[in-house]
Amino acid sequence: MDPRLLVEAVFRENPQLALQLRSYIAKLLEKLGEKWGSRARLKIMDFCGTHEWTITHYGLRTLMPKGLELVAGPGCPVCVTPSWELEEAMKLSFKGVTVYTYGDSYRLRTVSPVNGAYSLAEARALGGSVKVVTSIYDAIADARKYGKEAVFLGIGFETVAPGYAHALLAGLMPENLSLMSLVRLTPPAMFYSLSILREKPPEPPVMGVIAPGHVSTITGAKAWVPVAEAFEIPVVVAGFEPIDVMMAVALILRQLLQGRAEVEIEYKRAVSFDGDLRAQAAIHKAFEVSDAAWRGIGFLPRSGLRVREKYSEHDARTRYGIREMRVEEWKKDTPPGCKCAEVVLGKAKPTDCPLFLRKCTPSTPYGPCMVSMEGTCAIWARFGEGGVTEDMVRELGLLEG
Amino acid sequence: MCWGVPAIVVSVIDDTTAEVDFGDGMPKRVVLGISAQEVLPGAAVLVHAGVIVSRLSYEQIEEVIKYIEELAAIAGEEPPQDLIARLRSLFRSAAGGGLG
Repeated sequence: MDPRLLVEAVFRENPQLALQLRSYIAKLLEKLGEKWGSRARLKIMDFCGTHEWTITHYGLRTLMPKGLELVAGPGCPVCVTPSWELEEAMKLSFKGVTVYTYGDSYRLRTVSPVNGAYSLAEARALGGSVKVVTSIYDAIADARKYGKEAVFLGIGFETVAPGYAHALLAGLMPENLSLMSLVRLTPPAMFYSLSILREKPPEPPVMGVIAPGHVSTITGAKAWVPVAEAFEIPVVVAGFEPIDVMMAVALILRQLLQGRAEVEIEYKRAVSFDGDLRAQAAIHKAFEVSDAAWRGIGFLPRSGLRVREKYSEHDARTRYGIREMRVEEWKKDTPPGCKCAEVVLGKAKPTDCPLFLRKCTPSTPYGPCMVSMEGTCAIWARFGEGGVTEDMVRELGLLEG
Repeated sequence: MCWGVPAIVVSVIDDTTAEVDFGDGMPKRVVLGISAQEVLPGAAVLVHAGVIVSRLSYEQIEEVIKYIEELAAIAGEEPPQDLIARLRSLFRSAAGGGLG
Protein backbone atom coordinates (compact mmCIF):
# COMPACT_ATOMS: atom_id res chain seq x y z
CA MET A 1 0.00 0.00 0.00
CA ASP A 2 1.18 3.51 -0.72
CA PRO A 3 2.36 4.92 2.63
CA ARG A 4 0.50 8.15 1.99
CA LEU A 5 -2.78 6.30 2.46
CA LEU A 6 -1.66 5.71 6.06
CA VAL A 7 -1.21 9.42 6.75
CA GLU A 8 -4.91 9.77 7.66
CA ALA A 9 -4.20 7.46 10.58
CA VAL A 10 -2.15 10.25 12.18
CA PHE A 11 -5.45 12.14 12.48
CA ARG A 12 -7.36 9.03 13.55
CA GLU A 13 -5.26 7.10 16.05
CA ASN A 14 -3.30 9.64 18.00
CA PRO A 15 -4.16 9.51 21.72
CA GLN A 16 -1.25 11.78 22.65
CA LEU A 17 -2.46 14.58 20.38
CA ALA A 18 -6.10 13.97 21.37
CA LEU A 19 -5.24 14.39 25.07
CA GLN A 20 -3.25 17.52 24.30
CA LEU A 21 -6.16 19.00 22.37
CA ARG A 22 -8.60 18.05 25.13
CA SER A 23 -6.46 19.97 27.58
CA TYR A 24 -6.29 23.03 25.25
CA ILE A 25 -10.06 22.96 24.74
CA ALA A 26 -10.67 22.88 28.51
CA LYS A 27 -8.20 25.71 29.14
CA LEU A 28 -9.56 27.87 26.34
CA LEU A 29 -13.13 27.44 27.61
CA GLU A 30 -11.98 28.41 31.09
CA LYS A 31 -10.31 31.52 29.70
CA LEU A 32 -13.50 32.36 27.82
CA GLY A 33 -15.37 32.19 31.13
CA GLU A 34 -12.86 34.61 32.65
CA LYS A 35 -13.28 36.92 29.66
CA TRP A 36 -17.08 36.83 29.80
CA GLY A 37 -17.16 37.12 33.56
CA SER A 38 -19.15 33.93 34.12
CA ARG A 39 -18.77 30.23 33.42
CA ALA A 40 -18.79 29.84 29.64
CA ARG A 41 -21.73 27.84 28.28
CA LEU A 42 -21.97 27.47 24.56
CA LYS A 43 -22.84 25.15 21.70
CA ILE A 44 -20.88 24.35 18.58
CA MET A 45 -22.81 23.00 15.61
CA ASP A 46 -21.33 20.19 13.54
CA PHE A 47 -23.20 20.64 10.29
CA CYS A 48 -22.25 17.46 8.48
CA GLY A 49 -23.62 13.96 9.18
CA THR A 50 -20.15 12.51 8.77
CA HIS A 51 -18.82 14.86 11.45
CA GLU A 52 -21.63 13.68 13.73
CA TRP A 53 -20.56 10.11 12.94
CA THR A 54 -16.95 10.91 13.91
CA ILE A 55 -18.01 12.71 17.10
CA THR A 56 -20.28 9.86 18.20
CA HIS A 57 -18.22 6.92 16.99
CA TYR A 58 -15.06 8.16 18.70
CA GLY A 59 -16.89 9.40 21.80
CA LEU A 60 -15.65 12.97 21.37
CA ARG A 61 -18.53 14.41 23.44
CA THR A 62 -17.04 12.72 26.48
CA LEU A 63 -13.81 14.68 25.90
CA MET A 64 -15.54 18.07 25.89
CA PRO A 65 -15.46 20.14 29.10
CA LYS A 66 -18.66 20.93 30.96
CA GLY A 67 -20.40 23.89 29.36
CA LEU A 68 -19.42 23.01 25.79
CA GLU A 69 -22.01 21.07 23.82
CA LEU A 70 -21.69 19.72 20.29
CA VAL A 71 -25.01 19.75 18.39
CA ALA A 72 -25.74 18.06 15.07
CA GLY A 73 -26.99 20.07 12.09
CA PRO A 74 -28.88 19.33 8.86
CA GLY A 75 -26.00 17.75 6.94
CA CYS A 76 -27.65 14.49 5.92
CA PRO A 77 -29.00 14.59 2.36
CA VAL A 78 -31.05 11.42 2.73
CA CYS A 79 -32.77 12.83 5.85
CA VAL A 80 -33.87 15.98 4.02
CA THR A 81 -35.06 14.42 0.74
CA PRO A 82 -38.80 15.22 0.54
CA SER A 83 -41.31 12.39 0.63
CA TRP A 84 -43.02 13.91 -2.46
CA GLU A 85 -39.94 13.38 -4.66
CA LEU A 86 -39.46 9.84 -3.42
CA GLU A 87 -43.12 9.02 -4.11
CA GLU A 88 -42.74 10.34 -7.68
CA ALA A 89 -39.74 8.04 -8.21
CA MET A 90 -41.67 5.08 -6.82
CA LYS A 91 -44.58 5.79 -9.20
CA LEU A 92 -42.10 5.63 -12.10
CA SER A 93 -40.72 2.31 -10.85
CA PHE A 94 -44.23 0.82 -11.04
CA LYS A 95 -44.59 2.09 -14.63
CA GLY A 96 -41.59 0.00 -15.66
CA VAL A 97 -39.01 2.80 -15.52
CA THR A 98 -35.94 1.49 -13.67
CA VAL A 99 -35.03 3.73 -10.71
CA TYR A 100 -31.36 3.70 -9.77
CA THR A 101 -30.74 4.74 -6.18
CA TYR A 102 -28.06 4.76 -3.48
CA GLY A 103 -28.41 2.10 -0.79
CA ASP A 104 -29.59 4.44 1.96
CA SER A 105 -32.32 6.18 -0.06
CA TYR A 106 -33.49 2.69 -1.05
CA ARG A 107 -34.75 2.20 2.53
CA LEU A 108 -36.02 5.77 3.07
CA ARG A 109 -39.71 5.79 3.96
CA THR A 110 -42.40 7.97 2.42
CA VAL A 111 -45.35 9.51 4.23
CA SER A 112 -47.97 8.22 1.77
CA PRO A 113 -47.92 4.80 0.15
CA VAL A 114 -47.51 4.27 -3.60
CA ASN A 115 -49.29 1.06 -4.69
CA GLY A 116 -48.97 -0.09 -1.07
CA ALA A 117 -45.22 0.58 -0.88
CA TYR A 118 -43.63 3.02 1.60
CA SER A 119 -40.07 2.90 0.23
CA LEU A 120 -38.18 2.04 -2.92
CA ALA A 121 -37.22 -1.25 -1.24
CA GLU A 122 -40.90 -2.08 -0.74
CA ALA A 123 -41.69 -0.89 -4.26
CA ARG A 124 -39.18 -3.38 -5.60
CA ALA A 125 -40.66 -6.15 -3.46
CA LEU A 126 -44.09 -5.33 -4.91
CA GLY A 127 -42.91 -5.48 -8.52
CA GLY A 128 -41.42 -2.02 -9.10
CA SER A 129 -38.19 -1.73 -11.07
CA VAL A 130 -35.51 -0.49 -8.64
CA LYS A 131 -31.75 -1.06 -8.64
CA VAL A 132 -29.16 -0.04 -6.03
CA VAL A 133 -25.95 1.60 -7.31
CA THR A 134 -23.01 3.35 -5.69
CA SER A 135 -22.60 6.16 -8.23
CA ILE A 136 -24.24 7.69 -11.30
CA TYR A 137 -21.55 5.99 -13.40
CA ASP A 138 -22.76 2.54 -12.29
CA ALA A 139 -26.24 3.62 -13.38
CA ILE A 140 -24.88 4.81 -16.75
CA ALA A 141 -23.12 1.47 -17.37
CA ASP A 142 -26.20 -0.54 -16.37
CA ALA A 143 -28.62 1.62 -18.38
CA ARG A 144 -26.39 1.24 -21.46
CA LYS A 145 -26.31 -2.53 -21.04
CA TYR A 146 -30.07 -3.05 -20.63
CA GLY A 147 -31.38 -0.16 -22.74
CA LYS A 148 -34.52 0.22 -20.60
CA GLU A 149 -36.07 3.55 -19.70
CA ALA A 150 -34.34 4.54 -16.47
CA VAL A 151 -33.95 7.34 -13.94
CA PHE A 152 -31.10 8.05 -11.56
CA LEU A 153 -32.25 9.46 -8.22
CA GLY A 154 -29.67 12.20 -7.78
CA ILE A 155 -29.59 12.79 -4.04
CA GLY A 156 -26.74 14.66 -2.36
CA PHE A 157 -25.04 17.93 -1.51
CA GLU A 158 -22.38 19.90 -3.42
CA THR A 159 -19.96 16.96 -3.27
CA VAL A 160 -21.96 14.85 -5.73
CA ALA A 161 -22.94 17.72 -8.03
CA PRO A 162 -19.68 17.76 -10.09
CA GLY A 163 -20.14 14.06 -10.89
CA TYR A 164 -23.74 14.59 -12.04
CA ALA A 165 -22.74 17.72 -13.99
CA HIS A 166 -19.92 15.88 -15.70
CA ALA A 167 -22.24 13.04 -16.75
CA LEU A 168 -24.57 15.58 -18.40
CA LEU A 169 -21.93 17.86 -19.95
CA ALA A 170 -19.70 15.12 -21.36
CA GLY A 171 -22.68 13.38 -22.97
CA LEU A 172 -22.11 10.20 -20.96
CA MET A 173 -25.81 9.62 -20.28
CA PRO A 174 -27.33 7.11 -22.70
CA GLU A 175 -30.55 8.15 -24.45
CA ASN A 176 -32.67 5.98 -22.12
CA LEU A 177 -31.31 7.42 -18.85
CA SER A 178 -32.33 10.65 -17.16
CA LEU A 179 -31.45 12.38 -13.92
CA MET A 180 -33.91 13.36 -11.22
CA SER A 181 -31.89 16.07 -9.50
CA LEU A 182 -32.49 16.23 -5.77
CA VAL A 183 -29.22 18.03 -5.07
CA ARG A 184 -29.44 20.40 -2.12
CA LEU A 185 -27.06 23.27 -1.33
CA THR A 186 -25.75 23.44 2.21
CA PRO A 187 -25.19 27.16 3.01
CA PRO A 188 -28.95 28.06 2.94
CA ALA A 189 -29.66 25.20 5.38
CA MET A 190 -26.88 26.34 7.68
CA PHE A 191 -28.33 29.88 7.66
CA TYR A 192 -31.79 28.54 8.46
CA SER A 193 -30.78 26.21 11.26
CA LEU A 194 -28.54 28.83 12.87
CA SER A 195 -31.30 31.44 12.79
CA ILE A 196 -33.71 28.94 14.42
CA LEU A 197 -31.21 27.86 17.08
CA ARG A 198 -30.21 31.41 17.96
CA GLU A 199 -33.87 32.16 18.71
CA LYS A 200 -34.11 29.45 21.34
CA PRO A 201 -33.40 30.95 24.75
CA PRO A 202 -32.65 29.95 27.50
CA GLU A 203 -30.48 27.33 25.79
CA PRO A 204 -26.77 28.23 25.46
CA PRO A 205 -26.16 29.95 22.11
CA VAL A 206 -24.48 28.36 19.09
CA MET A 207 -21.16 30.20 19.08
CA GLY A 208 -19.35 28.34 16.32
CA VAL A 209 -19.77 26.02 13.37
CA ILE A 210 -17.71 23.05 12.22
CA ALA A 211 -18.24 23.34 8.46
CA PRO A 212 -18.33 20.34 6.11
CA GLY A 213 -14.89 19.45 4.74
CA HIS A 214 -15.81 17.57 1.59
CA VAL A 215 -18.52 19.99 0.46
CA SER A 216 -15.85 22.67 0.85
CA THR A 217 -13.39 20.85 -1.45
CA ILE A 218 -15.80 21.89 -4.22
CA THR A 219 -17.29 25.18 -2.98
CA GLY A 220 -14.16 26.38 -1.21
CA ALA A 221 -14.15 27.73 2.34
CA LYS A 222 -15.37 31.03 0.87
CA ALA A 223 -18.92 29.59 0.77
CA TRP A 224 -19.09 30.00 4.57
CA VAL A 225 -17.97 33.64 4.76
CA PRO A 226 -21.59 34.92 4.71
CA VAL A 227 -22.39 32.63 7.68
CA ALA A 228 -19.47 33.93 9.74
CA GLU A 229 -20.36 37.52 8.84
CA ALA A 230 -24.14 37.32 9.31
CA PHE A 231 -24.05 35.50 12.65
CA GLU A 232 -20.70 36.90 13.81
CA ILE A 233 -19.46 33.47 14.83
CA PRO A 234 -16.32 31.49 13.91
CA VAL A 235 -16.64 28.86 11.19
CA VAL A 236 -13.92 26.22 10.88
CA VAL A 237 -13.85 23.86 7.88
CA ALA A 238 -12.74 20.51 9.28
CA GLY A 239 -11.69 17.07 8.12
CA PHE A 240 -13.41 13.89 9.25
CA GLU A 241 -10.94 12.20 11.56
CA PRO A 242 -11.34 12.68 15.33
CA ILE A 243 -8.22 14.85 15.60
CA ASP A 244 -9.60 17.11 12.85
CA VAL A 245 -12.82 17.66 14.78
CA MET A 246 -11.05 18.33 18.10
CA MET A 247 -8.68 20.74 16.39
CA ALA A 248 -11.70 22.55 14.87
CA VAL A 249 -13.30 22.93 18.31
CA ALA A 250 -10.04 24.34 19.70
CA LEU A 251 -9.73 26.77 16.78
CA ILE A 252 -13.32 27.98 17.27
CA LEU A 253 -12.61 28.66 20.97
CA ARG A 254 -9.39 30.45 20.04
CA GLN A 255 -11.30 32.77 17.68
CA LEU A 256 -13.89 33.49 20.39
CA LEU A 257 -11.11 34.35 22.83
CA GLN A 258 -9.49 36.64 20.29
CA GLY A 259 -12.82 38.25 19.42
CA ARG A 260 -12.72 37.04 15.82
CA ALA A 261 -15.55 35.62 13.71
CA GLU A 262 -13.86 34.33 10.58
CA VAL A 263 -13.72 31.33 8.29
CA GLU A 264 -10.68 29.19 9.00
CA ILE A 265 -9.59 25.94 7.35
CA GLU A 266 -8.43 23.11 9.56
CA TYR A 267 -8.66 20.55 6.70
CA LYS A 268 -5.88 22.16 4.69
CA ARG A 269 -4.75 18.87 3.19
CA ALA A 270 -7.93 18.83 1.07
CA VAL A 271 -9.65 22.23 1.14
CA SER A 272 -8.67 25.62 -0.28
CA PHE A 273 -10.36 28.99 0.16
CA ASP A 274 -11.59 29.16 -3.44
CA GLY A 275 -12.46 25.51 -3.97
CA ASP A 276 -12.24 23.85 -7.37
CA LEU A 277 -13.18 26.33 -10.07
CA ARG A 278 -13.56 23.67 -12.76
CA ALA A 279 -16.09 21.80 -10.63
CA GLN A 280 -17.94 25.01 -9.80
CA ALA A 281 -18.08 25.96 -13.52
CA ALA A 282 -19.37 22.49 -14.47
CA ILE A 283 -22.12 22.66 -11.85
CA HIS A 284 -23.14 26.10 -13.10
CA LYS A 285 -23.22 24.92 -16.73
CA ALA A 286 -25.38 21.87 -16.05
CA PHE A 287 -27.66 23.20 -13.31
CA GLU A 288 -29.52 26.30 -12.24
CA VAL A 289 -30.15 27.18 -8.61
CA SER A 290 -33.78 26.87 -7.51
CA ASP A 291 -35.89 27.11 -4.37
CA ALA A 292 -36.20 23.62 -2.92
CA ALA A 293 -38.07 21.74 -0.23
CA TRP A 294 -36.21 20.10 2.68
CA ARG A 295 -37.96 17.25 4.41
CA GLY A 296 -39.70 18.29 7.60
CA ILE A 297 -38.37 21.83 7.22
CA GLY A 298 -40.09 23.31 4.14
CA PHE A 299 -38.87 25.41 1.24
CA LEU A 300 -35.51 27.12 1.56
CA PRO A 301 -34.79 29.81 -1.04
CA ARG A 302 -32.07 29.03 -3.59
CA SER A 303 -31.14 25.74 -1.95
CA GLY A 304 -31.54 23.24 -4.79
CA LEU A 305 -30.10 22.47 -8.23
CA ARG A 306 -32.37 21.99 -11.25
CA VAL A 307 -31.10 20.56 -14.58
CA ARG A 308 -30.77 23.38 -17.13
CA GLU A 309 -33.15 23.38 -20.10
CA LYS A 310 -30.28 22.72 -22.49
CA TYR A 311 -29.96 19.22 -21.02
CA SER A 312 -33.71 18.63 -20.63
CA GLU A 313 -33.61 15.39 -22.66
CA HIS A 314 -31.85 13.89 -19.63
CA ASP A 315 -33.98 15.68 -17.05
CA ALA A 316 -36.40 13.15 -15.54
CA ARG A 317 -38.81 15.94 -14.61
CA THR A 318 -39.25 17.04 -18.22
CA ARG A 319 -39.14 13.57 -19.68
CA TYR A 320 -41.81 12.07 -17.42
CA GLY A 321 -43.74 15.29 -16.71
CA ILE A 322 -42.95 15.21 -13.00
CA ARG A 323 -44.43 18.38 -11.60
CA GLU A 324 -42.33 20.29 -9.09
CA MET A 325 -43.99 20.80 -5.75
CA ARG A 326 -45.26 24.35 -5.22
CA VAL A 327 -44.51 26.21 -2.00
CA GLU A 328 -48.18 26.27 -0.97
CA GLU A 329 -48.46 22.50 -1.49
CA TRP A 330 -45.77 21.69 1.06
CA LYS A 331 -46.89 20.09 4.28
CA LYS A 332 -44.78 18.55 6.99
CA ASP A 333 -43.58 15.27 5.52
CA THR A 334 -42.20 13.40 8.50
CA PRO A 335 -44.26 10.48 9.82
CA PRO A 336 -46.55 11.05 12.84
CA GLY A 337 -44.66 11.31 16.11
CA CYS A 338 -41.25 11.53 14.41
CA LYS A 339 -38.96 14.33 15.58
CA CYS A 340 -36.53 14.11 12.66
CA ALA A 341 -37.18 17.69 11.55
CA GLU A 342 -36.28 19.01 15.00
CA VAL A 343 -33.24 16.70 15.18
CA VAL A 344 -32.04 17.90 11.75
CA LEU A 345 -32.24 21.51 12.91
CA GLY A 346 -30.39 20.77 16.15
CA LYS A 347 -33.51 21.68 18.19
CA ALA A 348 -33.93 18.19 19.65
CA LYS A 349 -31.72 15.20 20.37
CA PRO A 350 -32.67 11.76 19.06
CA THR A 351 -33.23 10.68 22.67
CA ASP A 352 -35.97 13.36 22.95
CA CYS A 353 -38.06 11.45 20.40
CA PRO A 354 -40.56 8.96 21.89
CA LEU A 355 -40.07 6.64 18.90
CA PHE A 356 -36.26 6.47 19.15
CA LEU A 357 -35.14 2.85 19.55
CA ARG A 358 -38.74 1.81 20.13
CA LYS A 359 -40.78 2.01 16.94
CA CYS A 360 -37.78 3.42 15.04
CA THR A 361 -34.55 1.41 14.90
CA PRO A 362 -31.67 1.08 12.40
CA SER A 363 -33.01 -2.27 11.17
CA THR A 364 -36.59 -0.96 10.84
CA PRO A 365 -36.26 2.80 10.35
CA TYR A 366 -39.51 4.77 10.70
CA GLY A 367 -38.25 8.34 10.45
CA PRO A 368 -35.83 9.67 7.82
CA CYS A 369 -33.00 10.36 10.32
CA MET A 370 -32.75 6.64 11.18
CA VAL A 371 -32.00 5.48 7.61
CA SER A 372 -28.62 6.71 6.47
CA MET A 373 -25.27 6.15 8.15
CA GLU A 374 -25.23 9.98 8.34
CA GLY A 375 -28.60 10.41 10.00
CA THR A 376 -28.17 11.63 13.58
CA CYS A 377 -30.70 9.10 14.94
CA ALA A 378 -29.03 6.18 13.14
CA ILE A 379 -25.61 7.23 14.45
CA TRP A 380 -26.79 7.68 18.03
CA ALA A 381 -28.63 4.35 17.91
CA ARG A 382 -25.59 2.49 16.57
CA PHE A 383 -23.05 3.92 18.98
CA GLY A 384 -25.19 4.44 22.09
CA GLU A 385 -24.90 8.24 22.33
CA GLY A 386 -27.01 10.33 24.71
CA GLY A 387 -27.09 7.77 27.52
CA VAL A 388 -28.52 4.99 25.33
CA THR A 389 -25.80 2.52 26.32
CA GLU A 390 -26.21 3.30 30.02
CA ASP A 391 -30.00 2.77 29.74
CA MET A 392 -29.53 -0.58 28.04
CA VAL A 393 -26.96 -1.71 30.58
CA ARG A 394 -29.32 -0.69 33.40
CA GLU A 395 -32.30 -2.47 31.78
CA LEU A 396 -30.21 -5.62 31.53
CA GLY A 397 -29.43 -5.35 35.22
CA LEU A 398 -25.71 -4.97 34.62
CA LEU A 399 -25.48 -1.65 36.42
CA GLU A 400 -26.89 -0.49 39.71
CA GLY A 401 -29.14 2.58 39.89
CA MET B 1 -22.75 11.71 1.54
CA CYS B 2 -19.60 13.23 2.92
CA TRP B 3 -17.69 9.98 2.96
CA GLY B 4 -14.52 10.48 0.99
CA VAL B 5 -11.89 7.82 0.47
CA PRO B 6 -8.20 8.61 -0.07
CA ALA B 7 -6.63 6.94 -3.10
CA ILE B 8 -3.52 7.13 -5.27
CA VAL B 9 -3.87 7.97 -8.98
CA VAL B 10 -2.49 5.07 -11.06
CA SER B 11 -3.08 6.50 -14.50
CA VAL B 12 -4.96 9.32 -16.17
CA ILE B 13 -6.98 7.92 -19.06
CA ASP B 14 -8.28 11.15 -20.54
CA ASP B 15 -9.38 14.64 -19.56
CA THR B 16 -12.28 13.23 -17.58
CA THR B 17 -11.32 9.74 -16.39
CA ALA B 18 -8.58 8.25 -14.24
CA GLU B 19 -7.72 4.98 -12.56
CA VAL B 20 -7.00 5.00 -8.84
CA ASP B 21 -5.84 2.52 -6.20
CA PHE B 22 -7.66 2.60 -2.85
CA GLY B 23 -4.92 0.56 -1.26
CA ASP B 24 -5.96 -2.93 -2.33
CA GLY B 25 -3.92 -2.89 -5.53
CA MET B 26 -7.02 -3.06 -7.74
CA PRO B 27 -7.20 -0.14 -10.18
CA LYS B 28 -10.68 1.41 -10.13
CA ARG B 29 -11.97 3.78 -12.77
CA VAL B 30 -13.19 7.15 -11.44
CA VAL B 31 -14.21 10.51 -12.88
CA LEU B 32 -12.27 13.75 -12.51
CA GLY B 33 -14.47 16.22 -10.66
CA ILE B 34 -11.64 18.74 -10.38
CA SER B 35 -9.15 20.40 -12.72
CA ALA B 36 -7.07 17.88 -14.68
CA GLN B 37 -3.75 19.56 -13.85
CA GLU B 38 -4.33 18.62 -10.21
CA VAL B 39 -4.60 14.93 -11.05
CA LEU B 40 -1.33 13.37 -12.15
CA PRO B 41 -0.23 9.73 -11.80
CA GLY B 42 1.07 9.21 -8.28
CA ALA B 43 -1.02 12.01 -6.73
CA ALA B 44 -2.98 11.30 -3.56
CA VAL B 45 -6.63 12.23 -4.08
CA LEU B 46 -9.97 12.07 -2.32
CA VAL B 47 -12.70 10.06 -4.09
CA HIS B 48 -16.38 10.61 -3.37
CA ALA B 49 -19.13 8.51 -5.03
CA GLY B 50 -16.86 7.64 -7.95
CA VAL B 51 -15.62 11.20 -8.45
CA ILE B 52 -12.27 12.77 -7.51
CA VAL B 53 -13.24 15.83 -5.45
CA SER B 54 -9.84 16.95 -4.19
CA ARG B 55 -6.10 16.41 -4.30
CA LEU B 56 -4.59 15.68 -0.92
CA SER B 57 -1.49 17.69 -0.12
CA TYR B 58 0.26 16.39 2.94
CA GLU B 59 2.93 19.11 2.83
CA GLN B 60 0.48 21.06 4.96
CA ILE B 61 1.45 19.16 8.12
CA GLU B 62 3.48 22.21 9.12
CA GLU B 63 0.18 24.14 9.31
CA VAL B 64 -1.14 21.59 11.82
CA ILE B 65 2.03 21.95 13.88
CA LYS B 66 1.65 25.74 13.73
CA TYR B 67 -1.88 25.41 15.10
CA ILE B 68 -0.62 23.26 17.98
CA GLU B 69 2.07 25.82 18.83
CA GLU B 70 -0.44 28.68 18.70
CA LEU B 71 -2.95 26.81 20.87
CA ALA B 72 -0.21 26.08 23.40
CA ALA B 73 0.70 29.78 23.50
CA ILE B 74 -2.89 30.89 24.05
CA ALA B 75 -3.34 28.26 26.76
CA GLY B 76 -0.22 29.71 28.41
CA GLU B 77 1.85 26.54 27.99
CA GLU B 78 5.11 25.50 26.34
CA PRO B 79 4.52 23.80 22.96
CA PRO B 80 4.64 19.99 23.31
CA GLN B 81 7.98 19.48 21.56
CA ASP B 82 8.02 15.67 21.80
CA LEU B 83 4.55 15.45 20.25
CA ILE B 84 5.52 17.85 17.46
CA ALA B 85 8.70 15.88 16.74
CA ARG B 86 6.68 12.67 16.66
CA LEU B 87 4.13 14.19 14.25
CA ARG B 88 6.92 15.33 11.93
CA SER B 89 8.54 11.91 11.93
CA LEU B 90 5.21 10.11 11.41
CA PHE B 91 4.51 12.25 8.37
CA ARG B 92 8.02 11.88 7.04
CA SER B 93 7.89 8.10 7.23
CA ALA B 94 4.33 7.82 5.92
CA ALA B 95 4.96 10.24 3.09
CA GLY B 96 8.18 8.41 2.21
CA GLY B 97 9.67 11.59 0.78
CA GLY B 98 7.24 11.58 -2.16
CA LEU B 99 4.54 13.92 -0.98
CA GLY B 100 1.53 14.10 -3.29
